[in-house]
Parts: sequence; C-alpha cells; structure tokens
Amino acid sequence: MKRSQIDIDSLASEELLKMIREDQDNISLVYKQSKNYCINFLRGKNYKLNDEDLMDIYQDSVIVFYEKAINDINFILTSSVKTFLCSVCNYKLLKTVGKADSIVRIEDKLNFLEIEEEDEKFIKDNEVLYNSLEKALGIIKDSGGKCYELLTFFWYQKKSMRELTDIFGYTNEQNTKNQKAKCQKRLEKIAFEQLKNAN
Amino acid sequence: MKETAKILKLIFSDKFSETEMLRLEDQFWNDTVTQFLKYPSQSDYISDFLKDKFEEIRFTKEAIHLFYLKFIDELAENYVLNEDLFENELEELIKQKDFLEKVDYYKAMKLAIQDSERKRIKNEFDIMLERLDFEIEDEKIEKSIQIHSRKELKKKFRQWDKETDDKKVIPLNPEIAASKENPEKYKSKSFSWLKLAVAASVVLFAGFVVFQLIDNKPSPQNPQFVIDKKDTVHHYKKEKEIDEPILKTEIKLAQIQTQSKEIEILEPSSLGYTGNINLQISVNLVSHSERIESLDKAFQETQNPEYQTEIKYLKDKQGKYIFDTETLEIFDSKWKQDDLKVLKSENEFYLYVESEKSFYKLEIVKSKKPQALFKVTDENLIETLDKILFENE
Repeated sequence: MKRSQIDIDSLASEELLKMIREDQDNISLVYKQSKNYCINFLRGKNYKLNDEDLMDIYQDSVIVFYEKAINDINFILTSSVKTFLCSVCNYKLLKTVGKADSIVRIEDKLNFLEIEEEDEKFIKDNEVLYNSLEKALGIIKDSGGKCYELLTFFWYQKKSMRELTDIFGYTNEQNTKNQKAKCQKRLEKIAFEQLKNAN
Repeated sequence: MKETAKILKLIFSDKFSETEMLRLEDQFWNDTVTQFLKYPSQSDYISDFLKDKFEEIRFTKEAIHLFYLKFIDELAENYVLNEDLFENELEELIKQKDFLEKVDYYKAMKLAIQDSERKRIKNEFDIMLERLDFEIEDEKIEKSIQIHSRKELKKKFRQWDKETDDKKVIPLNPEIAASKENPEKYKSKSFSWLKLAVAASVVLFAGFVVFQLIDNKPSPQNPQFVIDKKDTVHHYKKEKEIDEPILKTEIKLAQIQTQSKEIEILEPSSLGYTGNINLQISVNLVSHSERIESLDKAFQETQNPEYQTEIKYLKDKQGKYIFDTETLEIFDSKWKQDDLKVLKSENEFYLYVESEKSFYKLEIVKSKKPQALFKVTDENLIETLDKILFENE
C-alpha cells in the first residue's frame, strides 16, 4: 500500500503522532483526509465566510495540530483527529468573527491556543526586530544552503542535536552545534543590516 | 545539579580538559552559577574563585566577561525553547538585563522561523502528499551509483596518466618540450623518428650479419681500422668516441614535482538537500624549481642551448595555471594543497586561497596554454563566493 493511502482513522493516537514527528510530510495525510469533514463543519456554522477564508481557518488548524504534535511530547488525542481539528477550527472561526472569548472557558483542552495571542502581542511589541529577522530569514532561505533547514529543524521542528547530526550527516554533535551557531550568527548579521536599513 | 549549572559546565568543557573538568563537583558548578548570576558585581570574586579551582591564570576580566556572555546567551536560547527549564532560578535570571534582551531576540527569531515555516507548510500540503509516495527503485539507485563510480574511476585513470606524464624527464629537444602544447605535431615528429630508428636498426643488423659472414676482425695493432678481404680500409669508430659528447650532457636532471589532491567543487547548496554530491576536481601543484635548477647547472657545464630553451619554457609557466573543469594545474606557486578550494558559481569557476582569503577566476582554455591568475575584485562577486564557502563549511 502506498503511504498516501494510509487511513489515519485506523491508526492509534501514539502511532499517528509518532509518524508525524518522524516525518513532517505525514501531516499531509491528516490534511487530506480531514479536509472535507472540517470544511463542512465550518460551513455548517453559517458565519457567511467564503470558502477561501474557511480553507485558511482549516489550514491554520492543521498547523496547530502539527505544532502540538511536535512540541508537546505528552500530547495524546483523546478523540479522533478530525474531532480535534474541528474543535480548533471552531475556535479559529470564532476568533475570526470576533467571538473567541465565549469558548475559551468551554474548551479547556485548547488552552494552549492562548499562547498564539501572547505571540501576536510579542510581535506587535517587538515589530522592528521581528521584521528584520523575518527579512533576514527570507534572504537565507532564498540563497539556498543548509542554514534555513538547520534553523527550522532546530527551532520549529524541535529536533535534538543528535537528530540533526544524523539528518545533516555531520561528524558529531559538537560539529552540528557549531554549524547551527554559525547559521544563527549569519542570521543575526543580516538582520542587523536590515535593521540599519530600516532606520 | 541545576539546569543552569549544567549549561555553564558545558561551556567550560569546551575550553578545559576532561581531567580538569572531572575534578570539579556539582556543588562547584552550582556555586559558580550563583556568582555568575550576580555579574558584573561579583566579577573579581569569580575571577579569584576560578583561578583557585583551575590552578591556572586564565581568568582575566575579559575572559570572565566572555564566559558570562556565552552563558547568558545559552540560558536565553534554552529558556525560549523551554520556558519551564529554569523555574527555580527565573527570579534571579530576569534581573539580568542581558538575559532579557537575549530572550527577546531569540523569541523574535523563533517566531519569525515559525511563521515562515507555517507559510511554507500551508503551500506544500499537496506536494507533501506526493512526496510520501515518491520512491526510487533500488535498481535505479544502484545503477546511478554504478555510473557515478565509473566516472570517478575514469577520473582517477586520467589523474594517474597525468602524474605519469609529469614524472617523465622533459626531453632536451625544445620541439619535444613544446609538444605538450601541440600534441598533433608531436605525434608526427615522433613517428618519423621511430621510422628512422627502425631503418637504422635494420641497416645495423644487416651490417652485423655481413660482418659475421666475412669473418672480419679488427687488427689488434690498429683497432681503428679493419681490412676486408678486398683490402678495403673501413673506418671503425670506437664506442667511446661516439659517446663522448653525450657524456657531457648526461647530467642527472631533476624531475618535475607534482602534488595531487582530489577535492570537491563547492557550489551553492540547493535548498539544503543534504544528499547532494558535488563534482570532484583534481588539483595538481606542479613545481619546476628543482628541474630548472638542474637544467641551469647542466647548461653551465655544457653550454648546450637546448637546456636554456627548456628553462625558458618552464619559467614561462611559473605562477600560471591550466584548467579544464576536471583538472586544475598550478605551476610553481607558494600555495599549499590544503589552502585551496575550487568554487563554481553561475557556470564560472573560481579558486579560493585560504591563507590569502582571495579568490581567483579560473578560465577554461582548450588549447592547454597556461594562463595567468587574476584576483577577483568585484565586491558583489566576493560576497557571493563567500556565501558559497560558508554554505559548504
């Protein structure tokens, strides 16, 4: 059987989460197999949002699930993944239409979503620094090379030095650490230039 | 041991030997962290404290400051990754302005990376699904490895051929010396010499047979002449007489020295895919100095102008190079093999000399005529090449 044909509903929570943690591409199984279910759920809420907005909410919700899977080692699905996604979709939908406050108390399991609001506030308070880093990251990404991947694997996918050493084929963890430090230094240098240009 | 102490210990273990580190107990690290968290007010105390423990005077104020900066940087990075990590020491930590600044920086960096990745994932959901089923059959992988290995082997053959050629003594005849520049001409010349040699051998052999048949022996009284049965006087040259002019030129000439090394051509990495295999190039550092010295000595002794012709030919190559994308030959440079890197950017090739931190443009010249090296001075190009170096570190 092809990997794209694996039925996510047939997998135990641990199994699914393990697959996603091991290979980011596996999140596409969740995305593909839950899409119609969740979009129909959102449509049923009758908030007069167009399909594009609903798709945006759905995609953001899948990303929330993905980040929860990679960031929280204790995370276990107590319901099906589709039900979980619908809960997140519901929260995001209400947030989009300005009614998020009404559900925060009801959906305790979604408390972690509040962190996003904290992040948004942080970005607003540190807008100049954030923008310069965002631009610098774009430059590093466009220029190719291992730096972008190394930084995202470390900071976003939360890969350990051991895992990074295996993925990138470095000789040892110290070497990987040095490479990461160099990449961060480069990012800092470009961000500083961006900051100078902005002023 | 506290989490903060573990981090401090790791920083120190980069600088000090394992033996030195093993002597120190957990309590030492916990105490040192306490002092570091009061920095800079405790800097003198920290200095004395560390000097006492490490028995060496390596703890100047500047050194302590650098340790402190590194420590705060590591703490901030770890804190942004896991905010629960320093629960017990957080109260002390947030008093440190440097720590808070670093935390803000890493948090902004983390969020920038997070947003960039979110956008990428949203755009790639469909591609990810396709990637799940993308597989290359083992047979195809095996075949491509086989082809790659064959190419590599062929390259090695060419390299060995080149090494063998370089080790040959350059002939005194300037025409032959110049043959490297014009192989076609050389081919026809050497063939005509071969024909002459064969003809000479046939004549000599025939002469020997006739000589044996008529049973002629040189007269012991006058070995320079022999008399045949018809009393005809034939000249008979002693071997020594033929050899005499050659003896003078039989000075042992030094060989051309070549150091070869296969290195990877550094290219901009394509989206960081780690499986990329860079092309290889053989870098040959060719040294003519010993050869020229011996040729010069030979000329002093013999005054044979052919030695000078070769000296001129070799000196013309000095500091120049020949490049054909598979082999780079550099003549009489002061550079060392480990100093050199070859880079490719937008189908152009460049030589990087580590000790000089300079780039040189490499031109592909089919005529195999040695070219002069020119330094890259364009700032933008230097920046691009620096980036390639960095990516390939």
